[in-house]
Amino acid sequence: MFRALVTAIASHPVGALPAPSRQALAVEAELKALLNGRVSHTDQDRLSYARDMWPLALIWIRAGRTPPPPDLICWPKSDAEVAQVIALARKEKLAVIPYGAGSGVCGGTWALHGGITLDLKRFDTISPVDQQHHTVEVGAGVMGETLERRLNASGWTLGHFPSSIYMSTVGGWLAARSAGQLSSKYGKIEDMVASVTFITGTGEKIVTPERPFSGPDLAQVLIGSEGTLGVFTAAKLRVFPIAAAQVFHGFEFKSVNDGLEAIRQIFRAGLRPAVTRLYDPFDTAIVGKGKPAAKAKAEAGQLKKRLLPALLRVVAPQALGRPRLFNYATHLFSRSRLILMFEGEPSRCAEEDAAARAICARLSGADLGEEPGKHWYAKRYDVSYRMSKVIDAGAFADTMEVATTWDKVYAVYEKVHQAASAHAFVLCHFSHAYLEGCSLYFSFVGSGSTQAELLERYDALWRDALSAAVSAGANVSHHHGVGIVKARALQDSLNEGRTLLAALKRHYDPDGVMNPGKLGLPGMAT
Amino acid sequence: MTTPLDEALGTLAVPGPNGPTLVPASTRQLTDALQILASQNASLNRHASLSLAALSQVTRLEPKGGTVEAGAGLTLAALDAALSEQQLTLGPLSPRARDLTLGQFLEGADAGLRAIPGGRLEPICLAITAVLPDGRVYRSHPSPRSAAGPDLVALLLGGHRRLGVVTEAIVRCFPFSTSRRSQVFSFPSADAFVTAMLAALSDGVWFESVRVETRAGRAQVELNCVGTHEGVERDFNTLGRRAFDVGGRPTGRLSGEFPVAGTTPDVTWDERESRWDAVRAAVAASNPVVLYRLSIASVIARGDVEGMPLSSAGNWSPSTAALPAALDPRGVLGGAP
Repeated sequence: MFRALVTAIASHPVGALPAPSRQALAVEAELKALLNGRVSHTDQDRLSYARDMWPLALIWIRAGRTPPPPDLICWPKSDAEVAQVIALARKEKLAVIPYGAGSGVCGGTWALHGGITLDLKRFDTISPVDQQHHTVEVGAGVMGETLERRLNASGWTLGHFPSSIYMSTVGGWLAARSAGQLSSKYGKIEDMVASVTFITGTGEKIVTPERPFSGPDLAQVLIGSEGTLGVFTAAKLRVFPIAAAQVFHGFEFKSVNDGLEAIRQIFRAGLRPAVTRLYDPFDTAIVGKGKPAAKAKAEAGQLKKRLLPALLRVVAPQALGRPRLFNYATHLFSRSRLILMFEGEPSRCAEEDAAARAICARLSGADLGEEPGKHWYAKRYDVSYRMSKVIDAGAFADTMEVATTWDKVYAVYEKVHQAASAHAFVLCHFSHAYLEGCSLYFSFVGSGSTQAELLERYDALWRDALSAAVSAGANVSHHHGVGIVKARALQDSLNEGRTLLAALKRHYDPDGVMNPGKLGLPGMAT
Repeated sequence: MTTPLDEALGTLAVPGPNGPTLVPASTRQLTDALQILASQNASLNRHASLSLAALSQVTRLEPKGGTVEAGAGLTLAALDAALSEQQLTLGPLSPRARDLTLGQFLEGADAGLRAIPGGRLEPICLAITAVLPDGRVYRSHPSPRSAAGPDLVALLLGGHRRLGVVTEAIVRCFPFSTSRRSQVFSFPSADAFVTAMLAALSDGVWFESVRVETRAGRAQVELNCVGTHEGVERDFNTLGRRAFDVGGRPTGRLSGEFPVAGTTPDVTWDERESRWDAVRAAVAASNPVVLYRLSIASVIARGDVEGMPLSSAGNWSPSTAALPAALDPRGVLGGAP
């Protein structure tokens, strides 16, 4: 269904970047005058902004290569400056790529056509919380952790905790429709938006209205546009009082299906845990092998400290090169671990936890107490920084997150597992649950005997895994966005919606300068 | 007298006082009718009207996720009645919303929004089928949330058929409510009442409706919740605590003087979407109000409360008002709002 994509993108030697285009250099002086000198074309900057956290770039970097760099990087600090940069880019037919903190994992900020990368971190203001309306106004360049810490200091929380919180911005969250680990209670970023400020590809400034208003909700149309229609510069977000209590509980089920049924019943019963994470059997084995929590923790620690590095160094290139064998071994495991966490008003948390425990008990879920949840919570941001170890060891690791309705969740799980097994070792957990379904978060680890074989396998993995997910009824992405890696899949899945997206593109970016080549929208003519 | 447009439309339309009325029995027939309008340089709303009454079937129920596929011509009241036989419900809706068709609720000023626990608003539809201005049929993907690009469905919700016509939707349903409970609380002020409501919504309390009247300077509030027996008990436990936090207390009934629609000419019974500021002001001014679809962002209010009337298309913001021309350059759906 999806043709090979990743191997078709050009890469360049890290030490020999192509020179900035003549067009770009020709406007550099004008750009510097507009932005008071905040423009760079140094190779260090161009190399830094050439990639995000898409593992393909990490694989290339390991081999001394980089994705195509932008010609120029600039740092605007006002809406007017952003509009002026866009006007200049339109005049000179240069691409404009909005950039937050580069934590995306789909290639959404890659400068496929060179051009000007627009770093928005100078949009760094945070207003005091509006106590009457429970809102805060934030610049698009504010880092997630900075915002949360500031809110916490006055007794509030955004409730948005993506794994990338230390290295992602509000603008990036909006651009890619981000989700945090507590989304089951607080929602995804699009659920938190009261209003956004957006500069379109025509330079028009849009401040979307807050409820009540007439007409379609333009904020929801712009969120998720990944820079292809314009640039987010600010948002008004809804905030919540900091939770007075957190109640954790872990359970272990005889099968993935039992665990999924427990989550479904919990949500259909009107309970709203902030955290809902069900690990598939092998992920459960890695987390704790179904042992008592303390012992499991010790074993997991051993696994991480000793076995995993050894596995990666010695076994990875060979064993991960035979993923079917590895995946077959996962059939030795069947138990699935579920972590729940309720937060909010203490008595209500206790009541909801008790109701959830009753549901899990009816489905023969073994009560593991609070420790598995607390352990996960303490380590919840670690995973973001571990991936590079796998890649350093000569393998690849990537993740794919999709969502579907309850009737299709297990089929999507099985089909993706089956399709990806030939190319990589597969783990999965289920999180971000809703009344109607949930998200499936797959982790893949693979290798190849040569760099060429590894890239071929990586390409085939994405093609087959995403194709299987969509064929089984999943969408293309739940919260990582589309970027380059899922671009063709998005276009295929949109069907006639492609004309709507194309019409929006023509309306907001008639010259096609905004982040060309993303979301499967056309690249720039060269 | 038969016009060329009537002739071209044939059985796809019936004559009406202001021109033909399109009466499609399927999405395909609507596509055909719009193509004919375009070929005759005619447009919906100006040269022809549209009735989706024939699209009123409930076609598919999915029990695990509690979703149902329904035609846009079905009223929400009828859909809810059909759902109750399957132990499902659309959840709390305002009285006006119940009389709307699914299409009117999605495309009108309600924008298809309902309140869900946690104080949030969410479209009632998981996915839609819509005919686009160029006659193409768009079917969105039924997933609970997505990061697959912009939310294209959002273009059509609240779009008053200017950007596309919704013909079917997959509707999100709640388990049938087995319990309904009311309790009256007395709050020392309008401010205390609003503070308690916002806190309770953040906690996850799911209201069916709230009635407020002011007596002797205190806000007397009847809180109504629905859901499972356990859920309603949890909600009232939370409400009791939140009321107590701001000096509220349980009390007896509301006075029998609460105005009833049709009998109190001074009170506005049109539903309007209002912010909590407006509700606070209305309660402080001793105006009796009834609130539905309660969320942190806004509520639907009846009574003397400032807000946006839900009975008209209203004025779109300038940025949004430009969309019909961009997405429907032929103007087949009737042009700008």
